[in-house]
Amino acid sequence: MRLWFILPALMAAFLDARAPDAQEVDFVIDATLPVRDTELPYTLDLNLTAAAPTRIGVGALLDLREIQKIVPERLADNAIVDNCGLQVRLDDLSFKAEDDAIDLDGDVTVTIFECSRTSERDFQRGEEKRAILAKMSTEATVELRDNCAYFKLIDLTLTAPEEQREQLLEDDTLDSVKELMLAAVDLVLNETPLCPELPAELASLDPAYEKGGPREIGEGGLGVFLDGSVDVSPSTILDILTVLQQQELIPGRP
Amino acid sequence: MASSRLNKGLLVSVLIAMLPGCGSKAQDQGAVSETIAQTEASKNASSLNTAGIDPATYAGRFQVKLTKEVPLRDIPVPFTVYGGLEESSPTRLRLRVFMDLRGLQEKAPQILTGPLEESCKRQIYLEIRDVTAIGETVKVEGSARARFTRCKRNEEPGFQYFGATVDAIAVAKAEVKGQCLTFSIESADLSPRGFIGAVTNLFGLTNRINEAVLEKGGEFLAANPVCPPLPEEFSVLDPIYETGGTREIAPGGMGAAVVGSADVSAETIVKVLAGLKELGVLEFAE
Repeated sequence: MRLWFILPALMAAFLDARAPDAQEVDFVIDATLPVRDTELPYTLDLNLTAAAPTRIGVGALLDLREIQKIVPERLADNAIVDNCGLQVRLDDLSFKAEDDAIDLDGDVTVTIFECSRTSERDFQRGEEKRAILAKMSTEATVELRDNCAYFKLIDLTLTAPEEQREQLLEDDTLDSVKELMLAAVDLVLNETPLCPELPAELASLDPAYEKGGPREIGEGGLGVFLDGSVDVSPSTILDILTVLQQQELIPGRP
Repeated sequence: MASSRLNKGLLVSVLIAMLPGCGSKAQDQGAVSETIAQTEASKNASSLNTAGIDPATYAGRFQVKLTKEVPLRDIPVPFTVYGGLEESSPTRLRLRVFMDLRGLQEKAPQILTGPLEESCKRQIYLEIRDVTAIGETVKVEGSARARFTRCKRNEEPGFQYFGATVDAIAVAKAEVKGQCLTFSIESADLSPRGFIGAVTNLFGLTNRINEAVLEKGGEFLAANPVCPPLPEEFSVLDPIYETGGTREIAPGGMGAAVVGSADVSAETIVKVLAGLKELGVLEFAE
């Protein structure tokens, strides 16, 4: 029955809501992004506006600054490419969102090993043949597919130090590394769509997103925006109230 | 005619006390502890007993039940409200509300019995015996005892030159005006007690009692329509209540049914969400 006590508060809120600038409401929601066997935390900043008499505009801003901090740490501990003859590690990765693109820079350590075949299927990694330290720089963007945002690498540049360049040109090592890296990263990114999920209370407001892209939050902070809308009817209110009732947040049925 | 006007006066004052949350001419009541005990009892009775209430009066896809205790003249009175909401068109919701007023009905005699006017010229004392619902009307039974006195210099009542008691039975009906219930008199039946009562009529004193009650009650009623306590989930929709009135919860129990509607647009939904967020009902947003 606690709601009876907050009736005046609601009335006040409702009166406030009549102010011209209040035909929108913002929610800040804690969300997680499942990546392989772990979950990365992010914040979903949801903005709802009355766009048309039966349509609510939905603006979702995914604040990925926490992920921006965590991912380089995780990557530093794991090789991106790790097969019999080649290991590629990525260190000091830095993301930087700039306007509508994301710049990624990092140090790539490429280690080439001897690799011998021991049977039909098995390979045996042998001695280290060579290690190359290269600078990576790439640009990523965000694509909207199936109502989810996907990161996509636009291009990847690997630059080796001067003294190693001659030899690398000779055997195309960097090119193969680049191809492998692109393939590996794209695989991870394709498995990691950002599909913002609304809390149960707002499930009936599940929007169709029409566009999306990267967005810089603050200074270089990584964010992704999704803009869309949802058609609403009086039933939408009944759906919301019904969920609130199921969660015992408002008084129950007779 | 005069007698029926007195009955109106009685009824008017009954209705004053029915206004949930509204104050009235404060009239002290004794037996407060007894009242509380009875409140508990009636609360249990009313919350358990939905028998006799037609579920169609609060039909809807979303339904809610609320129990609220409103103090009337320091007496806590339990109200139970049943509400139903459903979509009636692509941009409208239909609201149906049924108010179980049996708690009020039970308390009405205690709440209403007491002095209505205590000036040096006249003192009118009301005694309400019973309030019963009959179909879509409410029957109020009681009596009024009036004393006419001369004013002393210090404005205290002095020599009593006349006194009379009148029994009254009034039947009232409620209409929906705006968001509120407005009661009106359907019929009234009055019987002055004994010889003195007959004399009361003869001298036109009944009129004077009646006028006193009507004047005070009428003024108060005009300023305080009966606006039912509703779930705030409904209030936020800013509904328009279209039809309704009192209903009998068989046998004799008093209730009220109201039907209304609310326009719903994207704007309304955004407002509702903003209101719910402000209330802290949406836990994910905290």
